Amino acid sequence: MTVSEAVRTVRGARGGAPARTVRGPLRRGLRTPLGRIGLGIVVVLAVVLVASPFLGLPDPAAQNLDAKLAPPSVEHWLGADHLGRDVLARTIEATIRSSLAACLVLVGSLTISILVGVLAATGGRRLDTVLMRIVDVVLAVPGLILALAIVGLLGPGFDHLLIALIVSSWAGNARLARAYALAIVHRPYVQAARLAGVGRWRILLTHIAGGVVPQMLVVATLDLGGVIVRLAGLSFLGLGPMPPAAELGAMLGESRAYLTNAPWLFAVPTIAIVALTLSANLIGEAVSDAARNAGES
Amino acid sequence: MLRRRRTWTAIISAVLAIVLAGCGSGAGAPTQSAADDHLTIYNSYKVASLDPNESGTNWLFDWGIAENLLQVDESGEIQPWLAEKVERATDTTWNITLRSGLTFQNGTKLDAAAAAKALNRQVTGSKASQVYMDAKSVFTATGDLTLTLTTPQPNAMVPAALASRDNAFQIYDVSVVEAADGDSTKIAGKGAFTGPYAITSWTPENLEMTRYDGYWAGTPAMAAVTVKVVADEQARIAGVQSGQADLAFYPSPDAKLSLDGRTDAYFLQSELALQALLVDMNLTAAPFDDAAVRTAFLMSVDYAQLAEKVANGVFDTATGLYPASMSYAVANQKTDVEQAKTVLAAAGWTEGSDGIRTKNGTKLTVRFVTQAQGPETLALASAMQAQVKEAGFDLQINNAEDSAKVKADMSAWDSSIGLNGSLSGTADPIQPFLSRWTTGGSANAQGLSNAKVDAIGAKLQTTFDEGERDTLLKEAQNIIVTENAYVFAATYKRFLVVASPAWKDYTVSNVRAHLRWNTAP
Repeated sequence: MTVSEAVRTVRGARGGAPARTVRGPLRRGLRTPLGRIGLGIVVVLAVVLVASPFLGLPDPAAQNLDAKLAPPSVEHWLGADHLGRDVLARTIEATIRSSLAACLVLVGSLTISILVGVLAATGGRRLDTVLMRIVDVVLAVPGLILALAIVGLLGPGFDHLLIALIVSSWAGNARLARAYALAIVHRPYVQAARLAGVGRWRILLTHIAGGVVPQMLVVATLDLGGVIVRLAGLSFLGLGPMPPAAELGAMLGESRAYLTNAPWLFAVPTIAIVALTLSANLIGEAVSDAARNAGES
Repeated sequence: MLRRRRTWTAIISAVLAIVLAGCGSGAGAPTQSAADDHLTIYNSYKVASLDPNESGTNWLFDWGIAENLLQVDESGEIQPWLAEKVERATDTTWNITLRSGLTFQNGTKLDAAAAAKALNRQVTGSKASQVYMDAKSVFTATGDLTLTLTTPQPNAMVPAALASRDNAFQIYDVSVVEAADGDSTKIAGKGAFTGPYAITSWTPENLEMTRYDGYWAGTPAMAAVTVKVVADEQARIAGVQSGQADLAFYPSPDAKLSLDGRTDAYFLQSELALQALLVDMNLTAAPFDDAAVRTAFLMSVDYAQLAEKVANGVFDTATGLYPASMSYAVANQKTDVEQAKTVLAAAGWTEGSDGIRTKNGTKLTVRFVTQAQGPETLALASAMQAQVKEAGFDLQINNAEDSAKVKADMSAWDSSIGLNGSLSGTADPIQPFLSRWTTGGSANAQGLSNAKVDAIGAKLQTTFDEGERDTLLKEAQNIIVTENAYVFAATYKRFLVVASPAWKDYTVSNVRAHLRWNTAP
C-alpha cells in the first residue's frame, strides 16, 4: 500500500476530510432557481462578449466628435458619449475589464488569505499570534478607506487600484482560511500522512492548503459581486483607469454631466454593473447554499 | 434563507437608490432658496492664505476682498482704481496719487504712508511681486495722498504690476497682517483690506464675508457672501440646481450641453478671456528634449476641433500663443498631421503596428498632466489623445488633483495643460513671459532655457515703446513656437459659471473680477 493509498484509506474510514473540489457544490448550486438565473445572466453576457468582434463595432477608444452625445441609432446601437465614442463598444470592453479585474483581485486576495491562514494555523503559536495581530490591524481599518489611502499613496491608475483592492480585502478571508486550516490539521488523514513520513511542506501544500482552497473558492464566489462594485465605485471616483480605457465605474462617472440630456450614458453601464453583480451574487449564494446543505462548508 | 433575503433587500435598495438619485438630479424647483442678500458661491480652488506675501492669495481679488492701485477692465485696458493717477515722471520714477477718502475695512485711513508700507512689504517679500519689479524698488510717501515709486532701472511693467491680480501689489493694512505672524485665521475679521467684502472667517475651503459699508465706490449689494470649495464639478452644479449655491465657478464646457433648456440652472460665459490654456513640455528629458518631437506634437493637435467640438464653441480656436486681437500676436500654430508624421519619421521615429511610433525600442509615450480642478483640461486632453495618436503619439493622461506637485518631479511628466496664461490678468504679456519662459523663471516648470528668449525678456522689461515691444514679442514667438515649439496654446478660454435662476443675469468677468461692489442678482 502506498502512502497516498494509506491516507485515502484512513480518510475513507474516519471521514471528515474536506471537499477536494468546488465542482460538487457548483453543480448543485447551478441547478437551483437562483443559480439558474445567475448562470443565465452570465451566459447572456458571455454571448454578447464573444459575439462582439462580429458585430462590426468601432474601436472603443475611437472618437467621432460629430456624433457627440448621439442617441441610440443604427450607427451607435446604445448611443455615443461626450467624445462620440460608441457606448456599446465601450461597455463591452469595460465589462471584460471589470470582470477580469475582479477575478484578478479575488485570486490575489485569496492567495494571500490562504497563505497567511495556513501558515498561522500550522506555523506555531508565535507565528499565529503575529499573523493574526497583523490581520486585526488590517481589519481595524475599513476596506474602502484603506483602498482609498493606498490609491492616494500610489496615485490613480488601474494597476494601483487592483493592488489597493487586493491589499485591503485579504485580511477577513485570512481569518477564515486559518479556521478551515485548523480544522484540517488534526484530521486523521493529515496525521496518517505525517506518520507515513510525508514532508512538512508537502502536507502543508497538498493536504492542508489543498483542503482549504475549495472551501475558500466557495467563499470567493460570494465575494465576487462585492469586488465588482468596489472596483466600479473607486473608478467612479476617478481612481481607476485613465482615458481612453473603458471601465464601468469610470463610464458612470463620466455620464454624470449628461444625466438629463444623454441618459443612455448612465443607464448602460449601470445595467452592466447590476447584471454582473447580480449574477455573481446569485451564483455565489447558490453555491454556498449547496455546499452548506451538503455539509461541506 | 436570511442571507438570500438580505441579497434581495440589497438589490431592491440599490435599484431604489439609483432611481431616487436620478430623480434628485432632474429638473425641478430648487429645494432650498438662498437668502436674497446672501450670495453663496461654489468654487474649485482654495484660498491658501490671507497674507498677500504668500502664494495662493490671488483669490482675494476675485472675491472682492483685496484691491490694487490700478485695475484692468473687461477690454484689457488698465484703469485707475485705488489710485487716481499713476504717471511716469522719468524712466525710473513714477508718481502715484491715491483717491481721497479711502479706508481699510477696519476703518483705518488708507493714506500714502499706509499704501507705501504695503507695497514695500510686497516688493521685498513677495516672489510674485519680484517678477514685476526689482526688490530694490522703493515706494515713498511724499504727501498725504501722493507717493513715488523709484526703480533701480527702467521698468515698463509698472502699470501692469500695480494692476496685477496675482497677489503682487494688493493694498492691505500691514499692521494687521504682520501681527498675525503667518496665521491667516488672525487676519480674518480684522478688516485688513479695502474691497467691498470683508472676511469674517476663513479656512482654505471656506470663506465667509460680510458687506463693508464704508466701501469707497458705493454700498455693496450683498449683505454677506460665502465662498465654499467644492472640488467636484458635478457637485458644484448640483449645488446650484438644489438651491444651496447661487453661482458655481469652473464648470466644464460640456455643462453647456447638460444645462441647455433647463430652468433650475443656467450656463453663463464671459467674453474671451485674456488667458489661454497652454500646453507645455518637459524639455529636460525625452521625448520632448527633441525639437522635432515637440514640433510634430504641436502640428498634430487639431485646434479648431478642440474649440468648436470639444468645448462646444465656448472657447476660441488657438492660432498662436496670444489671441489674434493682440497687436503682437503671431499666428504660428497650424494643424498638419501629415507633416507631423514626416517630421517624426525624419527624426527616426518609426510607426508600429498599433500606430504608435518607436525609436531605439522606446515608444513615443507622452505622460500628460491635466488639472482635476479645471475639468475642461481633461476633456481637451481626451480629445488630444485621439488627435495626436494619428501622428503616432501615445498620450497617457494623468488627471492630477495637484498638477503643480506632479510637475515638481521632472521625472513624472512629459507634458501638461493648464490655465497658464500667456497674458496675465492685466493683459500684460511681459510678466508671464518672464516667469514662464526665461531661465529660472518662477513658473518655468518645463525647464525652458534659451539665451535669445532671456535677452528678449530682459529687453521687454525696459521697453516703454509699444511698437518696439510688439516687435520683440513677435520675435520671441518665432523662437518659442515656430523654431523650437517649446509651448503652444491649446485653446483660448472664456470663464464659465453656472448660475441659479435668481442669478441668471450675472455678468461673468473675463478678468476674474467675479465679485464687485454692485454685483447683485
